[in-house]
Amino acid sequence: MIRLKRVIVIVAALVLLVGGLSSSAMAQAKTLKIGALGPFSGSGAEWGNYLYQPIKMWADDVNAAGGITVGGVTYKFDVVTGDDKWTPSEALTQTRRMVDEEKIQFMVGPVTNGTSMAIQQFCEENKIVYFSEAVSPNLVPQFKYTFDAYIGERDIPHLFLVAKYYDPERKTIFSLAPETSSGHWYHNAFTKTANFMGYKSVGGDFYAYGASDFYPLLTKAKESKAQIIFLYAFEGEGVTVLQQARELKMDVIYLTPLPVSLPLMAKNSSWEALNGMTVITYDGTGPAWDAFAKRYSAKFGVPPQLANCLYSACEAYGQAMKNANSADKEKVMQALRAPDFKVFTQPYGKEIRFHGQELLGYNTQLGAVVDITGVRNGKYVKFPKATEEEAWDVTLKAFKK
Amino acid sequence: MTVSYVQRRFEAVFFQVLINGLFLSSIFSIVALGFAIVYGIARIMNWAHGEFYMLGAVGVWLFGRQLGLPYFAAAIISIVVVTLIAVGIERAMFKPLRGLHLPGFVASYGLSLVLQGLVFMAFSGHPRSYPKVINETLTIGAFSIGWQRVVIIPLAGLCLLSVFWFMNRTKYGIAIRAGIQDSQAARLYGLRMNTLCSTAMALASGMAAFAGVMLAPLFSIEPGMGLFVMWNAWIAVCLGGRGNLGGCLMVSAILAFMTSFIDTYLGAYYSLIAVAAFFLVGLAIRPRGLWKGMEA
Amino acid sequence: MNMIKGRYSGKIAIAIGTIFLFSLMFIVRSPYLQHVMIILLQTITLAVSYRFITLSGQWTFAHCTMMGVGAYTSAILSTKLGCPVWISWPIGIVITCFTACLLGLLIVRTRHVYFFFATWAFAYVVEITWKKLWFPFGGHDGIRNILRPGPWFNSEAHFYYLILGITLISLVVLYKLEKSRFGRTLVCINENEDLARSIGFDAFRFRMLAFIIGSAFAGLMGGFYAHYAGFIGPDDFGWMLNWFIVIYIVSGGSRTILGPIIGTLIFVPVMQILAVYRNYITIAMGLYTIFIIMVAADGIEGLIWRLRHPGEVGVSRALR
Repeated sequence: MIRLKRVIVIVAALVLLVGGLSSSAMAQAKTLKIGALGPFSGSGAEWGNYLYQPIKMWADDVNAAGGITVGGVTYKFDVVTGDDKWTPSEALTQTRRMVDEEKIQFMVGPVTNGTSMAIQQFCEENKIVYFSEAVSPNLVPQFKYTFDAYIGERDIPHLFLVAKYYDPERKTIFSLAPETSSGHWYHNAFTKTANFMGYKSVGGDFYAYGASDFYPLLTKAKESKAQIIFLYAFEGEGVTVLQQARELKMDVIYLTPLPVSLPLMAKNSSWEALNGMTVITYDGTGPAWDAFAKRYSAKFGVPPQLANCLYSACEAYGQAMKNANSADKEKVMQALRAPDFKVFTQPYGKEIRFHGQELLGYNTQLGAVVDITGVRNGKYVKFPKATEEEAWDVTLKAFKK
Repeated sequence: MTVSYVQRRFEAVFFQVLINGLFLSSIFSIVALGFAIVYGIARIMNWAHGEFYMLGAVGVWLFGRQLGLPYFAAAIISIVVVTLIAVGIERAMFKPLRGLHLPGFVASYGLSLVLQGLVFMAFSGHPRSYPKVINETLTIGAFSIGWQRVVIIPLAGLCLLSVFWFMNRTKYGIAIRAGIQDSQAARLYGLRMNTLCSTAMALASGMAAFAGVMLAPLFSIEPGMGLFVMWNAWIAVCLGGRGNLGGCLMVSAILAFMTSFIDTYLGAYYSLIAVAAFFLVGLAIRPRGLWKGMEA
Repeated sequence: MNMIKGRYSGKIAIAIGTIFLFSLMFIVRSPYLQHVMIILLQTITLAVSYRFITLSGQWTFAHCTMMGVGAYTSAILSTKLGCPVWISWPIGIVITCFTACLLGLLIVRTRHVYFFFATWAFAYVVEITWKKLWFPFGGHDGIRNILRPGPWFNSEAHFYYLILGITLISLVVLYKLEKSRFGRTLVCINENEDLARSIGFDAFRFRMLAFIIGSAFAGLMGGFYAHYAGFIGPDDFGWMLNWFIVIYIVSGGSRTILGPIIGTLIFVPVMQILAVYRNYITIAMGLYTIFIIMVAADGIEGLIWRLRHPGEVGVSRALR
């Protein structure tokens, strides 16, 4: 009988605990929460912070400016995080937690294709707009709430146009990308563009994400007599590739499509590593960008890749709220999808819009071409870019289905 | 004319792959040997061994880049610090777990998480790099390789030779070998297992830190860099047989050359599968190790 | 709960517990918490089936990978071949058994840590295969739009009752197996293999069977997860989740069938709550693992047992 009593007590305690948990979250009318879904532990753990910081910065900026007032109500913003541990199942669980318990308004993240796809259905059903950081998360037109924080396709031709201008005699390309879905995507996109623009692709390979040694791959590249290396790598690996290629005495220039944040690279390694190299990439330049980078550095450190895109995504949402004059999730989504939607972004210092309509049939990729910059003979330079129209023209033709 | 041209081209790659294989086997063998020694004497499979390698590299970055010391000073300080940390961990954590294979492994895995997490928190996950000490490149015809990479091969050889000398000619070394062979008999002869295990751990972690220090200018330094060497070291010890140091070195070399060849000729991911498959098949054929090891 | 003493109160306790579990859907209304319950139940079945494999002394690192095999099979059959779920799911289990059989043939002869690491190598190979092959596994992106088990499955509650039923049946089956002659032979082989062999038991065959049966349950859970979440990717069944299962058993204990349940019930909610301290999670997990091994290698359940039976040397089926 004593045992039975014990069991009843335990059961009662469990009931209370469970009941308590389910009523713990209270929605607050005037503070909207933004969800930051990304990996904070496990492989890729640093991406979580890269995701969280720009969003927090935007939230702080908006709150400092008095919040956003629509429909007679002033809204301030708060950021909550969900650790998806780089796995789709955990991404789904955390999204559910943030939506059901924390009652987020919209979300930024996640970082990979797999995790982005895993939450599409759920976010659609719960009317949660999310800006994925994945390069091309297999968007399906009927998922209206899925947006992309940055656009991959449009910037690749830009790099090629600059290469053509500066080094027209180089014609053969070898591509190096990580063995991830974005790696494969970039490889395919680059091959298409290269073929369209008359370059010859002499090979390509994928390295294991997180690998330290690129020697074998670079040996292959050297053997194939490539004159240009198309490198899709994040900063640490990028520097290692550059160093090891120099060891191998490879005479190549680099096209890297990721806003590589050369200042960050320089901080973590050294400019000496880039001596004599030519790297064509894109990065923020100009007074607006510098001001943004300075503010960001004061708060968090040198802005990492894609910080500007994520900040702009939040700005886009804020603008959409103003356009719709409401915080209603569905109305804001429709405002975002309006054909003439434009938003002024601080990092770029100009208005940008969504892209993708002509290319993919749906307008959900937010992005701006920043300047083509890079390193030329060891010096950080800004390359005069081809006009945007020219780049766009090439993109449409190259990627036309 | 064309045949010899093709031949020369092929040889260049082949030679490159060969040298890279030698380079990798130097690294793998240093780390694997230390791991094998600790496993042999304390019967603990220390997954955190890769973290000692990582800490060596992080240490040289910390003392060299952040505090501005010259490379060699930073390297020595880093090795010493890592050794002290490792011996401390051994005394605190591994002593009660000696002889318990699986709990020792699980605890060491937890330890590796802690070490990686601490480095991540202290220095963030940004991969760092360390400038090269020797910037010249050795070029022979179509083939070139950085001196920094080549120089590791003789350095590693020196390290292995000195370990060999230690294990065969010094009192402590012979005692460790005795302990590996038969710990009970060793105890009967008055050898103190605590001292031996600590010495073995100091040696092993010193070697791992030495490898890390040597590799810092070549690879990117980040919290997860230990996995690359640890994976191979583990397979080397499993297939080499417990206590069989020569077997462990042999398997490390095999794995290194496999990795180098398959990476270059086939593709980066295939070497990982090949190594894992080699391991599985090796275990299937000889569950106790490819050579005769000492029974656990 | 000691199943031998006080046999009626034990049964009443189980009955109350079962009624409580069945009525939980009416108490808990938040869909997120319902989702957590579903995952919890699924994890409990995984943990208990893992423990079943450890009865024979084999600690695998590929349990979640086996779950993945079942999940991928069922997902591929139902999405790409249009197979109805009630057929593709069992086929998934069969394929998992087959895979376990193949793996077992390779490595069942190895012991303890070697076995553990061999299954790790296997898990690695399988994960890379899933990632590399865009057809049929979908590569890094995985498989999406996986069907629900039936058109009437449109709320968490339905899935909850499904998994609850499956879990209860699995627990009963595994418990009965453990107490049966087969289970006792497994324990015997684990305790002293040479002695068992000398009596005439074929250790290899028993170990293989234990491995296959445990993996079959993992495949079962895999099929459930695929049709519940609608989306699976190779990272869903990776090293981290494999590692978590080990931690559940180690921290809960593998003495009785309750051990893994305790470990899961403690660890999963704690991880969810601690998710706020995102940067410290890795360190916390590491420290927790070390702490458990140093203090209570036979888990919390073992700790409780030792506290209640001071001085007794019990059957410790802790890691060896």
